[in-house]
Amino acid sequence: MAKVFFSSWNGNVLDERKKIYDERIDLKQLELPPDIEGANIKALVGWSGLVIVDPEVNIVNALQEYFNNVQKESCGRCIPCRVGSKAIADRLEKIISGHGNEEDLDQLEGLASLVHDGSLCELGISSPLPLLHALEYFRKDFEVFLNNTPTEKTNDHYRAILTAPCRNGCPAHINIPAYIEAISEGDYAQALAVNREKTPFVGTLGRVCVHPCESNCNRQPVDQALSIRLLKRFAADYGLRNGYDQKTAKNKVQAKKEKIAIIGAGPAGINAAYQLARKGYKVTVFEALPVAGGMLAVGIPSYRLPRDILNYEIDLVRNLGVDIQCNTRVGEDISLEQIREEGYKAIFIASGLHKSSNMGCRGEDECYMGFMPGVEFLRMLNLGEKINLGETVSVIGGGNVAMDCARSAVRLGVKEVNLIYRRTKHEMPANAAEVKAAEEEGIIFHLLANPVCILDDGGVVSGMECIKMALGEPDESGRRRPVPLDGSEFVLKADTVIPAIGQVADFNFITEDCGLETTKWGTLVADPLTMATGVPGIFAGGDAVLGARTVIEAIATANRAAEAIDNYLSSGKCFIGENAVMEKFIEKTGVYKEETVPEMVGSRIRLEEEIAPVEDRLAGFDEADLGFKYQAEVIKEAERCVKCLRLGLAVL
Amino acid sequence: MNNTISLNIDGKRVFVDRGTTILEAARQNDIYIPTLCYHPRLEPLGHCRMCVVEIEGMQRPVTSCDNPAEDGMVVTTRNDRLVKMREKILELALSTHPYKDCLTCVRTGSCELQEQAYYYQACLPEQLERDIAPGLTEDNPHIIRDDEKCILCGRCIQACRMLAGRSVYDLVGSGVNTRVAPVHNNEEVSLEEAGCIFCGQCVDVCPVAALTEVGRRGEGREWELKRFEGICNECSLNCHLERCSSGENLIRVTVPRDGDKTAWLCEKGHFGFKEVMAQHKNNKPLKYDGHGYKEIDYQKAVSETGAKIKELIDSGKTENFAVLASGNLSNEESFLLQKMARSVIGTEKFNLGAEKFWVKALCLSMKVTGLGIPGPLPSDINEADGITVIGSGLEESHPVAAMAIQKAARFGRAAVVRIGDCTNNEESWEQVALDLGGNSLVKLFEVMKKVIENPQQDYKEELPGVSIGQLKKAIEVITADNNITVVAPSFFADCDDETVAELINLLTSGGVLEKGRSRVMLLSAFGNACGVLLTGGANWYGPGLIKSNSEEIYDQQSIISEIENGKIEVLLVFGDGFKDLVLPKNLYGITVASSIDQAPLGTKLFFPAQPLPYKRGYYTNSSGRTRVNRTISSETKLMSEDWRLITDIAATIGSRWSYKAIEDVRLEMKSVTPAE
Repeated sequence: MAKVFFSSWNGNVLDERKKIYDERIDLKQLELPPDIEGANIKALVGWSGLVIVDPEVNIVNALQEYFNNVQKESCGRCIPCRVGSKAIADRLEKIISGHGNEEDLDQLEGLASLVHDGSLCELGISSPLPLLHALEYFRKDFEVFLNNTPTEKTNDHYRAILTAPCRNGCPAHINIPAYIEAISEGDYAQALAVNREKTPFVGTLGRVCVHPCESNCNRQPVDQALSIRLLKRFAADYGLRNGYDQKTAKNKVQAKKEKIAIIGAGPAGINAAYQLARKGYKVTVFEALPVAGGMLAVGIPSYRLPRDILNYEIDLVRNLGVDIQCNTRVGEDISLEQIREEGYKAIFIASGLHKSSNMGCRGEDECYMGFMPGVEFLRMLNLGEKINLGETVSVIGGGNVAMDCARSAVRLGVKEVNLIYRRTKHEMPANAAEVKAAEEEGIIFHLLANPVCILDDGGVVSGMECIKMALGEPDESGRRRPVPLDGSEFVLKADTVIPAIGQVADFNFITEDCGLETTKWGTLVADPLTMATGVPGIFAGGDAVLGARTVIEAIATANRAAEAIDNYLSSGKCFIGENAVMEKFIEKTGVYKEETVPEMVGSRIRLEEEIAPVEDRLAGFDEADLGFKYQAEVIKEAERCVKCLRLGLAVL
Repeated sequence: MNNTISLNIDGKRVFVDRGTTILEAARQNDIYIPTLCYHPRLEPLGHCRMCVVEIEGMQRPVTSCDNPAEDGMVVTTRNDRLVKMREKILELALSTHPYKDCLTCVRTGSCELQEQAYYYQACLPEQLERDIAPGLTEDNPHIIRDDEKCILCGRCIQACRMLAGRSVYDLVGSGVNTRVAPVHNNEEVSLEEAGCIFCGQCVDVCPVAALTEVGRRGEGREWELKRFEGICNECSLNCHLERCSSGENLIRVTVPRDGDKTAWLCEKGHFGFKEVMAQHKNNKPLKYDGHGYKEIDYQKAVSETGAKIKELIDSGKTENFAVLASGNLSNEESFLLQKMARSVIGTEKFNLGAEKFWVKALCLSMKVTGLGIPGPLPSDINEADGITVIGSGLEESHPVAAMAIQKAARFGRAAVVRIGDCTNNEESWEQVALDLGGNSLVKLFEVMKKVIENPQQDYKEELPGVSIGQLKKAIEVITADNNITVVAPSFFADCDDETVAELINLLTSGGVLEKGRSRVMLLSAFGNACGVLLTGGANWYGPGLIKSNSEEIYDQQSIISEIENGKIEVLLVFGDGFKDLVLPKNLYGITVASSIDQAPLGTKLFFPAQPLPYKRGYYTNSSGRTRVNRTISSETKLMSEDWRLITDIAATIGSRWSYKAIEDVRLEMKSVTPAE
């Protein structure tokens, strides 16, 4: 049980030094994990203070290491951080080497205050805090070094991580502050390049990402979050219009001899292919559907994600030499065994969830005509198949897929589209903007309602019996459980019923003897860090492992898997790099805290994107949201960024 | 919401417009806040942190340069904490700056860092160890870079992007080893390889000696240099500039320090003066004596010139005399020369530097807008929502216009339409390259006008090969309220009456030209084409745009043809643009140029021309704005002026002019040319 010796984290000073060991507070109470991959944390030096677990830790050395890292990360724009952190690091070095004196400690305090008061961004503002706290509470540790011969070398290990609330909130940890800064300085090419480090799907994410980054933006209490998603979209669209990808020099990479197979050309599969091809591997992707893109191609409608944008980004991956074989269903056209026999040294399973979940409602298994699970409906629509929905449609669900189904139905000319959801609008998991757009497009919302039975007329759907709900006690997700109100049944006419309440996997290619385990929810078991399954050489990611989640989470798993596969093939050991480990570690502590939001002067209005008028939207499947247009305004929006860079150092 | 807000700075209540930054509010009210990275021509950077102030209710000091003042704000600009901060920041800056070089540094006495260090009596710290290679980078003929002195204010990076529309510089490295370097494709390269066009904006904004001009070192202390306002005449934009001289020597040319916030200069304007001065090799008149050129006394040369011309007049062969000038004559010179030709010699056979079709376009446009309505400036391009470019080659002919377009397209709001030239050089959000598709320009203009007047009609058949979607987009841009149309000289070089007329019709129907307003830049290949035209030097019109009564119209080409056909016996040439002209043996050519090398082959008599830095004169740019060029020479040492040469020649032919000073010429010009 890790106990806190001292903590000044998050503005609360907990000085447990005087207490005996057993009476000290658990590390868990600070919401900090006790170890990183098994190595115990001795101390944490970070942006909101110090946390000391092991009293023997050499805090002065740790601070020197911390400031060396600040220097490495300092962008160089402002004098206090750029020069001040070097002055601090030099002085700490002087003290550690035994040449320091009392005056140096006073100088340190002065420098730390200046860097804190004067720096441009949070890196400079926050990094002196642990030093100031150490000087206040652990001055003796410094004095030990003064005018003394240097003590023996410490055997502490250090792991540093640069993060920011937005970056931390992003599952893939895209370097958001860097690309926003690039845009604010007019360097759109750099903004695109920063994103491309993590994914080819920049324009795609710029349109469909659920942007957890924005929910972590420090501007929220002051005015509104930065429009991070749309800035990303701007970088991609601008780059597309001006041929940035064709202009950038290609990095020369040595071709590796191993070849890797990927099952599923969805966001996880393509992203993994992208990263592995960039490392020099020969990659083949097996895709069951006639098109590549997974749910991006057959789930999300084209008015949200134009196909030319998606295909342009998939082509970038093809141009790296990745072979995407469509119309090849693993389990039918080729088996897992055959893939192994063909010499693929590693396999990444990213087959997604393409089957619709059951509603638990009478009549759904009767195969009535007009009963169309949402996933199927969208797939048919996006593959260009003819669909006749009739005059009235009922969509069940409250997530983005349900919105996609409803909004696609109106565009197909359906006169009346009803949306049935068992909780209230506030609890709908769909993006608020989607819900608003759906309302504008004339979709009728039936909230706090649930279907009971599908009604038919000779095997053809004629309507739905529903029941009104009321909200009861919260369930495990924290949301209040809906409870049916007896006697409140009502009937909705419908020519087509489209359930869109969830998705499940189709793992018919996984045989009993292949050794892969599944969870009770029907997803594959894989290590959360390396994405390795129980079978050596087989990795898995995306919805197939996480359950029905988002594109950016799929991409995050793909990036980790690609790293792990690379390490596995070159060393035989399955692991991900230190940086990725640290990023996952910081995820647990969380970086965004409303109490530690930086001070800001005045509020600035967030730039809104242009949205096509409702009549134009309903006319077809042209893009509905038009993004940002003028560079001058985009630069102003990017300038709202406060640059909340934070540096953390774990002492192990 | 009220547009005026009030705030309290150091106990003083001040009123400013909403949106003003705290720093600007202080400066407007004579309250001093020190800065290092702030520059009035750039957006605030917030890099140096010297301008920190305390705001009541906030724990940390904030930078005043990039935070807007708010109604009711209480600001303190000076107290112990802030002064201590600024002193410490300076100390840190000095610990990464080789201040021991101050003794002989180019910027000593005018260096912004040195100024702050003096003001705060900064203590001089030891240098921190950095991984920055000492020494200068001198990989081009104009700009010297010194990485050690750079204080990373960021002005040059922003200036290159936001003023020149380029993106040459980037930050490389981290911490104290961060440097500003020219970067291309993620690699550090030379300035030229990074796409630098040597406009020199970065040098102008550098606060220290990290960026300096070649040739500046040791050429005089900054405060000893005299500054003279002037204009550039390398192209018809006539950009404002400032010449700095030490005694009679021209040391440097920069953008004007005060005045227009967005000042522009290109390589020719900023650094071209060295080449120009080098070209003026001969400073005495020369005469060809059969074998070579020998120096000759000025009076003798003038007399001989006059004699040759008088010979023609007396023998009734004035049609064998012609005058050519390359469009760099000042307004006064053009006025006098055409007066001499018309009233003293009695001929219309002259063209002092204006293309026929450019003149036609300008006059037709003035019929729409009315006389004296100026056209747009490069700074107007900045604010444009749409820019239409007709013709090609702006990067070479009018680099500042190209820069302005680049900047508006990359960082502003502009959509760019290019008609006829489909090489898209600048990036922008929206660009249309309207390919003619084999159709003529006339036809395109005609159809565009029709579409503007009747958007519903289908014109696909009239313009086969042109995408109607592109056409509609182009029209959207042209008719935007905030559109600027730029017509490059290449359009006028290959033109005819009909095309010019259709262009003006199109611009009128698109709202680019209307009574009292012109949003078109008609760019001439000649530097002072507009001034020449207004003073009667383009022989279709007299001074003040009075239509000439003469039946004969001469443009430069027709006069050159007559020369080549042997019809001309005496030719007077002004300017450097004719060095490829070969004069027949029987022709007596008198040339006024920078050196004999720039004179046409076969010149018999040569007069050295006044270099522009030493010339007093008015020039009118292609947007109709008249600007003054002041001489850097002291009154007493004024070299023989070109306008005097003209009056002297005229005197030997028998004119009875009496211009005691150049002001007399100007007075007479004022009475005949239209008010500007």
